[in-house]
Amino acid sequence: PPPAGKGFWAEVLGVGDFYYELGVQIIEVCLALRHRNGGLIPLEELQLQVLKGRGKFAQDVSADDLLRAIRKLKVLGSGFGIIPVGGTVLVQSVPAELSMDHTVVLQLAEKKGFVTVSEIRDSLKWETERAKQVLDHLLKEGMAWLDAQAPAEPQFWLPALFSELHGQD
Amino acid sequence: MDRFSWTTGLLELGETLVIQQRGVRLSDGEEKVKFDSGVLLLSTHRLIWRDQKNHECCIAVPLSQIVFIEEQAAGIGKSAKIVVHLHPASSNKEPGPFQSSKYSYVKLSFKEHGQIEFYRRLSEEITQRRWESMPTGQAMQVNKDSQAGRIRAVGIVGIERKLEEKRKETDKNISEAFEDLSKLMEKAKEMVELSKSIANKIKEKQGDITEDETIKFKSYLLSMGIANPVTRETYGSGTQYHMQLAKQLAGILQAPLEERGGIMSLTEVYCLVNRARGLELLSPEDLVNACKMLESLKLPLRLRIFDSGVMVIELQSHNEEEMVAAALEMVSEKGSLTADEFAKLVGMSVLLAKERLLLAEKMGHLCRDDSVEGLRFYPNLFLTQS
Repeated sequence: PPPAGKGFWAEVLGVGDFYYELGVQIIEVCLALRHRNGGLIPLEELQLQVLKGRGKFAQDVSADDLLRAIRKLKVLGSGFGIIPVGGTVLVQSVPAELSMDHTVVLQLAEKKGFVTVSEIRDSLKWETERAKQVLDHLLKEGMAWLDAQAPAEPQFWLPALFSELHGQD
Repeated sequence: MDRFSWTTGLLELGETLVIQQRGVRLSDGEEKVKFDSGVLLLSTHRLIWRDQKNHECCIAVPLSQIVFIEEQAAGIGKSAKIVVHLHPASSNKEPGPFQSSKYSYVKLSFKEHGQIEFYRRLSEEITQRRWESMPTGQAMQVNKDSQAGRIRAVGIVGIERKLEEKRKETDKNISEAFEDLSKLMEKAKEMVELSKSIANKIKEKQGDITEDETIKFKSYLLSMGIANPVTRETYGSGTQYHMQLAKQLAGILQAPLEERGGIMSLTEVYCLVNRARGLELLSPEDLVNACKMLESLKLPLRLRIFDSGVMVIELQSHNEEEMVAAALEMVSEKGSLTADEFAKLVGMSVLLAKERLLLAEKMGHLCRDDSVEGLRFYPNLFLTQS
């Protein structure tokens, strides 16, 4: 009789392996790109990279498949999470604490790939201090890069977002 | 009205409903009785009256008791009626609302009309006497024509007996089933008591859970179909499968751990193990559950969970606190280090490097400088230079 822990239905339907292997691929892609995006990657880019790695003859992987696999990975404790951002979803793969404030700023930055303190103040009606705190945290975590040379005021770029805008590497 | 018997109102096997009418009052001859407002049902075998307000109040009389019927037209303020003349009640009649009556007929008042159709159908049934050819489970009422009745009854009684037996059998099965259920409930109660007492003992650490109780518990689980149960006290919350898996993991991970300085994050382990397996991959959950059992199985690896929630596998021989001392030396040498820098120097993953530095900080050996340029750690001079 099949051992109880294996997931009876996974066995019967043969879907277990598919998601667990996908999990491995997701971890590897996230690890490879972490230095660039601080552990935040848009779902579409993740999908692209994963499909690249799987080769020509592998089964197709949908966004839904990725989300399922990521949800299962949460239990490993290494910070896998899903952050809805405007029209898409960001996948987090580092154990960084991202509060609602951080998420909202990420959503604000989605359109252009970067955000400024003034934009946050105007759109979200926050005080400067609060905006700065959130941006600093993202910088610390490596999820945002500072362009201090920008003309009007410093711009905080989110590699997770602009890599999507500017195509793949 | 003493010809009527209490009944459930349910039709017997072989009995069919012909017509029914609401709003019928039942009178004992000329006298009003409490059966004021009810549904009158005509079946192939009986005339049934059920109280509209209290459905439990239900009486019936076999059609075979009817001598003849008459119609009584409606008048001013009076509903149309059907008068039903009845044979005297038989001695073996089932108990009913009245022990005796001075009338040999009853009156059915149709307060909501419908008497014409009802009368027609009732006449039909009485003429056709369908109840004679369709015996039911009820005891047959022997009527005045007892001679003929007896002859008819012999064949019918045989069939009747069979049906009665069948019904008794069904009843027995049902009550047996319920017996099992009540036995199950008894067992369940015992189990609940036992598990409560075990839970209490665990909570208060009052003595050991006796062998007796353990055996009892296991046998309950077995009787519920859980083969080879694993109790919490021996194996933790895992199952046999996770136990086997844990042993396997210990074998697989020994070498890789040694190569990586004795410590690996669970995500690394997940990838390593599944890459090696190729088929029949582990789910993240199963991996975690198996790892949770490593320590209690006295295997040479253990699961460790840091404050941040990061989970790692360490060799038993690995001592993270000792590694902290080495880390401190390195930080002092360089003046200060970020997790990235430290990771590069030691050849560790950034994730684990950070955890080590955080642990060193927790232990008081390092101080942090948290700025936009990143998290940097310095030796804790407050401690060493006081």
